[in-house]
Amino acid sequence: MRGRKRESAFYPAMAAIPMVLLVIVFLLPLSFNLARAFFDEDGFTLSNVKEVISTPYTYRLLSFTLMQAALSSLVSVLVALPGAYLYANYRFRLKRLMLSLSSLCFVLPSILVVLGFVIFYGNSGFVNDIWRTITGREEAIRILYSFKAIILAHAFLNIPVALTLITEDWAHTPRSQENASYLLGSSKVHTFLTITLPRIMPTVLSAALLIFLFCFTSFSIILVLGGGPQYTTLEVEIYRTNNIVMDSAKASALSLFSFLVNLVILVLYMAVSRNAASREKSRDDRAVRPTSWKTKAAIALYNTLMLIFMLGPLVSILARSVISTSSRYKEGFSLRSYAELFGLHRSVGVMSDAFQALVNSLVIALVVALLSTVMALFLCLYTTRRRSKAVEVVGMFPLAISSVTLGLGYYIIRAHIHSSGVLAGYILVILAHLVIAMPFAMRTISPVMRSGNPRILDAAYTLGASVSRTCFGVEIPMLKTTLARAFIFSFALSVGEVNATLTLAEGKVVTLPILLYRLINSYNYQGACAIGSVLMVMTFIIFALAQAMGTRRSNGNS
Amino acid sequence: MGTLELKGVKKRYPEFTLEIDLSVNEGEFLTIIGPSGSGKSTLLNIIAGLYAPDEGAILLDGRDITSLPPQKRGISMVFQDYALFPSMNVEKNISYAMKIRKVKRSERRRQTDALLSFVNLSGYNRRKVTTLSGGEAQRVALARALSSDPSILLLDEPLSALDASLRRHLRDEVRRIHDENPGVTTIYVTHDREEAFSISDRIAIMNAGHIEMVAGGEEIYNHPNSLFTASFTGEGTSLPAEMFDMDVDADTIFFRPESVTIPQTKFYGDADAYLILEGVKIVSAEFLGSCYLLGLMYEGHRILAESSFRPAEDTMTIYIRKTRLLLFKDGRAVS
Repeated sequence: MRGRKRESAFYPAMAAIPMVLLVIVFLLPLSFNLARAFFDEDGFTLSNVKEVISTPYTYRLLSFTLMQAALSSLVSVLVALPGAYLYANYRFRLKRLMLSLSSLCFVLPSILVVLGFVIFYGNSGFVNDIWRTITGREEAIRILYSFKAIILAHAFLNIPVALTLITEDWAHTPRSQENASYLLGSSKVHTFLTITLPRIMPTVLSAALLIFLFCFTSFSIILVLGGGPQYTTLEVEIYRTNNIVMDSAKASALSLFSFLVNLVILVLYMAVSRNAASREKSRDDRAVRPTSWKTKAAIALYNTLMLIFMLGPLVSILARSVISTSSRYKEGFSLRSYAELFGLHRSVGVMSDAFQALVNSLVIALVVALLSTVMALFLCLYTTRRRSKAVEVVGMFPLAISSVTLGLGYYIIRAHIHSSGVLAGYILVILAHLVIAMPFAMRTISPVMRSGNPRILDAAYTLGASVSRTCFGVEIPMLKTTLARAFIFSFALSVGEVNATLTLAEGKVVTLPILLYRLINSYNYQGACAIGSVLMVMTFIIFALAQAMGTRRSNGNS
Repeated sequence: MGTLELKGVKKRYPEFTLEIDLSVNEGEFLTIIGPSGSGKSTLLNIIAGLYAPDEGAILLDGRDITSLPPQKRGISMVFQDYALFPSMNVEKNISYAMKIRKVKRSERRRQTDALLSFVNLSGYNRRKVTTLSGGEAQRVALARALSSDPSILLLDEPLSALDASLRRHLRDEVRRIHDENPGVTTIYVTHDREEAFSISDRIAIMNAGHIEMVAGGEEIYNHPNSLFTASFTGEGTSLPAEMFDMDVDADTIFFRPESVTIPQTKFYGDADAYLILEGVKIVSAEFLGSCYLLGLMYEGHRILAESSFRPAEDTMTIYIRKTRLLLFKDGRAVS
């Protein structure tokens, strides 16, 4: 639509407040980070940065970080590829469920994965229990606290990502091109190599880079499952330098270094994914019923292995949450941890914070989700009108800046304002979560808004409705389900957030994931699992709601 | 109520400039046709107030409305893709304008029912607009546009998304609605010339941002003022004037297929009243049901002719009635 009548002042006015807030919540921590790295009591200094970029240790960290990210990404994509082939080309029962389960991993808090791994693969975990029962041997298979544990956990989180992305693209690749190739006399293998593979390659690459990016800034998995200084990444080192060595200046310098590397990867990812997005898509489903028994067997095998791999750790958490191994209380079945969590039972130790943490988590997540949705809405309303690229840029923020860096920024701000008040702690946590959640909210809202029909608003104007009335009465109600999805995603991100919260407010503001982390560290697995179960159930509900809304919306459009 | 005047309205775009002078009478049904990209929709949007012109004035009943926002013009519009509010049901869509004007609830309901029955959709009040078929949605859009009691109703290719038979039916419906709302001026945009001929009082031909001709359908078809109008409003043949020994100040002659006579046996007409072309070859013959449309070749030029039969010979003589010849110089008609 070109040549709009007059620029209404309504939309810029509504966008101004969130815009200012966004700049503050995002840029402020970043600049405090910068300031801390470059200034000390005597003024400007390069010594922190110099120290970071001149020590070989930094490069050892960097090379390990890159290496584990590359390996995680490779493993995830390689495991996902055969699955994507089966899922895109065949129709079978459980497919929808499996794909839903896969996309669930997008919102699964990573600390939950950590816990699931500890319970499932740990020395006294379920895998080893079965191993001992079968073999009768005493010694356990050591999986945790090693390099392979890191890769395994990253694969757990990211195979579903790769599977979903590649399947999505492959399923919408029109069969006609392959059919044309067959008719021209090309064999199946030749067609796959010359037609199909080049077609899905950009998506495979883009998925691989996205996973690389996720793993580059991975935090809690490395912190807990890596289990030692030899498996430390940049992110974990930033956290350690700041929160354990208590040298925030050096941590800042390190975080800047990490930020720059991250930026390079992000630019790469954006370049590749632009390539992947700009192709025609068929609306038809190319999947057919499998006919040969080989295909059926392959589908059954892949699904079984995936189900064990994905559900094993999660189900273990549920099971372990009602098993007490404490000799102080009775061993065996017990609901004690749940009683402590919901404040029904007074407890000592780490679990004494449990009920408070539950309340904190819910309150913080609600505030974050509300703010993030409303702010994202008014920003999107404005930016889609201006056809600006701002949304895309803002949408990339959480990928560009790691949450540990963000948390560090707020940590420094907090030190600057000399506030030890509880309220300040809460506000800073909310702001940090907002930076993480809002871009996702914008990326949820913006495409829907852009695909909307601008003539509908014109129709309202010609019927006499003012700009603001049209906005609130016509435009926003059209986005109802999308807004609900944005709200839900923001809520999920906030409720599961651990990196920024831990770095920023350790010990001051306790949320469920933070408590979970502490319980793992103090070997109270039953308590950890009770909290994990609650987190998991919340995630499930949130996810189911979002899915239900997604299908309702697409039904409404057809 | 509903006399519209556009005086020197100009809107510049990088690729073309819209330049319009036009006046539409109260109660008139004016159709705008033209090739895509000629500026039809832009013109409607300017009239509605959704786009602002760079220059010129728009007068409604003598009052300058150029700077009025769309909300205050009393001009309704029906969009190609209906643009119904998806968050509201049929009734809420139709009563939206009345609600804005704070019409009482009981009155709103009464008028909505009246409008629904007017567009033959009685009982559709509670239907979700996403469940409507294309034809139903367009009727709801019409009812909604009429609900604000407009003095001018703009229709932007309202039927183009519908299939052929429904389009015919709704076309008559649109005209009926116009006739039963005396005083409402309707401006209808289409790219379908048959639709334009059947529905309009007058037709405006648009080309590259300006209006070529405004007149009744017959006038436009039989006496086009330009070669563009002639060829846009129907089939026809243009030939260089110098091919014929005629004493006229024109460079092109144009005639419709039905102006060509192909004698089945001997030609009995007055030979002086016809342009006679000998040695014409048949290239193609398309059966149209009521007649054949023949593609002919004469001295390297293609000629379209209508014939009630399929000629037996490959080569023949054709006769073109001189009074039906249209003469053009530099694309403009000469008399």
